[in-house]
Amino acid sequence: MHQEDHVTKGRWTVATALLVIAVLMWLWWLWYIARALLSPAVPVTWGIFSAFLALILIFLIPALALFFPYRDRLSPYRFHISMWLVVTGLFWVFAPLYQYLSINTNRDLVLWYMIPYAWEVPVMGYVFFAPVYHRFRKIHEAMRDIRRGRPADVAVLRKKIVMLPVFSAAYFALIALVSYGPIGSYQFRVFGGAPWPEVIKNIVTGTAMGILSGTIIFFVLNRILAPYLATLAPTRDAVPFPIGKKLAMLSTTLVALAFLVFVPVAYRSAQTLLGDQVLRRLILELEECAADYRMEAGVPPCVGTDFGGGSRVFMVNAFGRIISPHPEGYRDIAEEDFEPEVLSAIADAGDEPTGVTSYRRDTRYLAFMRIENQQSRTPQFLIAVLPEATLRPLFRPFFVNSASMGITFGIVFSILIILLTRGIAGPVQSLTAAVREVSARRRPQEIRIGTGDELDTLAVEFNAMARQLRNYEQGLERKIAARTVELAEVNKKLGEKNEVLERVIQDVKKFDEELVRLNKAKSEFISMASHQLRTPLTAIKWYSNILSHEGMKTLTPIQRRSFHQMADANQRMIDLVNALLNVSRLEVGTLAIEPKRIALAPFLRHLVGEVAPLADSRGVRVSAHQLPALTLSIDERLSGEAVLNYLTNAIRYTPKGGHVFLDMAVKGKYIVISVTDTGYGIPDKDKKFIFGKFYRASNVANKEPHGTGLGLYIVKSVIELMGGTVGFTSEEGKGSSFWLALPRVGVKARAGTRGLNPTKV
Amino acid sequence: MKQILIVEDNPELREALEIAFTRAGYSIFKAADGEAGLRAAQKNNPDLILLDIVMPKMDGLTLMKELQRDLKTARIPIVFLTNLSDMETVAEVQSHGGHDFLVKSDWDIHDVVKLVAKKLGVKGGKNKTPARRRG
Repeated sequence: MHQEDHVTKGRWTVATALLVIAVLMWLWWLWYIARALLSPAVPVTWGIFSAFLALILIFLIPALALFFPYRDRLSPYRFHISMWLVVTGLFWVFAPLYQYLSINTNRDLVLWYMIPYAWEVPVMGYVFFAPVYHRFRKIHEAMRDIRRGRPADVAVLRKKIVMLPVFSAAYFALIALVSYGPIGSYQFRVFGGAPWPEVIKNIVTGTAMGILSGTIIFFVLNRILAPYLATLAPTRDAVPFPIGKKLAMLSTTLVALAFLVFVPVAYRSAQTLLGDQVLRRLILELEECAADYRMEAGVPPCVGTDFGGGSRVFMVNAFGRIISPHPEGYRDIAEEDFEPEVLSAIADAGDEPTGVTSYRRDTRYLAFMRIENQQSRTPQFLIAVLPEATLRPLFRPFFVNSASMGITFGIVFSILIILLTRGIAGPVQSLTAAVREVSARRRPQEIRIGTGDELDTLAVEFNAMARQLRNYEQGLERKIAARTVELAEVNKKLGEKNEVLERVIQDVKKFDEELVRLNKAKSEFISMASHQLRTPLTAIKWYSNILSHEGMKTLTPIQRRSFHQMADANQRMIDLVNALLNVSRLEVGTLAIEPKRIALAPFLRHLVGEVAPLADSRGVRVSAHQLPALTLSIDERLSGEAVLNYLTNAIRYTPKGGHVFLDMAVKGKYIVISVTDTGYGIPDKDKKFIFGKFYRASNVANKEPHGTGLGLYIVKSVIELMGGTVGFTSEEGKGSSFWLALPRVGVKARAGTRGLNPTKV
Repeated sequence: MKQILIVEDNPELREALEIAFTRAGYSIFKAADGEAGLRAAQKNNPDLILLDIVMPKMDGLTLMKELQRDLKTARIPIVFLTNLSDMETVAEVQSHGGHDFLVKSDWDIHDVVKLVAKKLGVKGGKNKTPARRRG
């Protein structure tokens, strides 16, 4: 592991060092170029060029090779590195090729032209191509995402498409400005001649090319991306690239094209025209000069003179030496003055003057002819040279003419484009607005555009669609209205049913109230009847009292017995009436409960005392066992009646010599009072009904005539009303034990109008 | 001799009471309805009034209130003899002074005589056990 780390670390260091040296070599190359630019003495040849290139590559290629394994580590910078390499490589391959194949055929000039590009293209190329490539990558990624159905940022995509051509246009313009501007002027200064028309021409050309290329890129991109952008739904937000803008771009491009076409063409044609004229003039002058010369000896008169426009005429011998004018300016016509083709043309010159244009270093017009020396009969050449540079001022009118023509054309075209835009974008906008209005239901009318083109067709189709929609809508509304009517009908029926239901409910309520009323009436009747019954019963009672008071001695035993039976029967009737009254009170629910906290032990003992006479008369012993000292909040009267009932029952249903016990105990949440006897007991079949109304157990009916059958029912109702429970255990023949349980928390008060009638012991 | 006023609309009961009280040695006045009872009370000023509640012309409770208005008759003790036994009546009676309230059918007539004797402090009749007050 460590070893590998060391190896990789060393590799990295070496690669970095080599890269640094390659960069230094490059800088040295630039410095050399600067020197060469400053001083023509510094040679710039293909050999030096190749040497520097080799130097750079010697260090660059190994560095790259060593960095290759680290491509992962370098991947963040991978893009920039590769971009730099690509740009520089392309430049070094294509630029010389282009220059070589262009009009300048001199190889050295190729190098000269390439010098300024040597630094500018790699840098500017990187500056331009890096972002462009980056954008293209992003666009490609977006396209891939859309293809795979993944979400892509549409706005960004659109923006990138728009920015690309802008970018490229700006770049080309900048290139033009830079290369044809300061550098260009410098370039031309080196070679002489006024640079500015050429410079401006080149700048304009460059910018125009930039705009043109930008527009082409834009439209091409749009075409390519149209299917992708179509997958994304359009929104109502601001249109990203309105028709107007597109047309404006198009028009700008056309104007630029116009410039591209007009300006150079105009320039070139002007050049050619002028050139032809110049050459023709030179030829004429030479002819005249030669004609004059034939008549005399010596040097033709025009030698050393100026035909005008800064021209020079001179004579050259067969070996290429200038013989006249006396050496100034040119010494020998050598290769650096004129191209080989021109020199050979001069050598083959005939008696008639011919014209040619030389482009070596500078554009120059030449007219030449062969002249035989009258004295030495040796061939001599008469050459008239006119540099184009001096003619440049003459270009101005042509330039201005063509420029103004171009500008006029541009303006006219722009106006036409604007009108066209209005013609298309305007109606489209109004159509859009109209559609919006119709969809917002603000205007139900139809849309009229009146442009007489496809937009009109669109408006017509839209109107048809709107009409259809309206019909559909109306149809729907009709259906809804119909349904609403149906619903109203159903509702009405429901309402009727509801009414019926309501009436039924009312009837039921009335029945209910009637029932309650009847119940109350029944109880009140019983109550009233009972009260009424009491009067005759009282009469019987009192008269039997009086009778017995008068004395029984005068009666026979049978008479006496009859009397007592009557009195007993009467008392039973009174008891029954009292019991009925109690029952009716319980059932109507008018029984009042008035709880009071009392001590239970004395209370129970008092009750035992009350039944003592009855017990004595029947020979039954009654006793209360150890009663705990408890207090309880109860209704004394009601509870007393209940216990009394238990006690009297126990006494009555126990034969002579029997025993009745009274107990009290706490059981959970209740206090239980129980009365146990050694009496007849209750048969099993009667046990269920023993607390029922008017029930008397079958085994005692004939033994004890006193019972009403209501006593236990009343006890149960009263105790349960107080929140307690009742119960019993019994065995026929052995005895019974009746108990009542009252809650320890006490008895709750109950409002009522009546109390219980006391039972007679 | 003590004077008792009997106000009772039922003739049989009225006669029975008269027999029993006369036997016990009281002087008896009778009235068959409330109005006659009021007149009799004002005229004769009895020592005690036996008063029924349900009566024609004027019921027992109204009669009691009338008697209380007159100073002469206000201090006469009243024993209500009735067959009504509801709490409202009892409450009404007790709010106007602690008069006795007896349910006729629950009392032997001689027990009534004993109660009256006790109330008047008269040594009349067998007075063994104090009559129980029920109701």
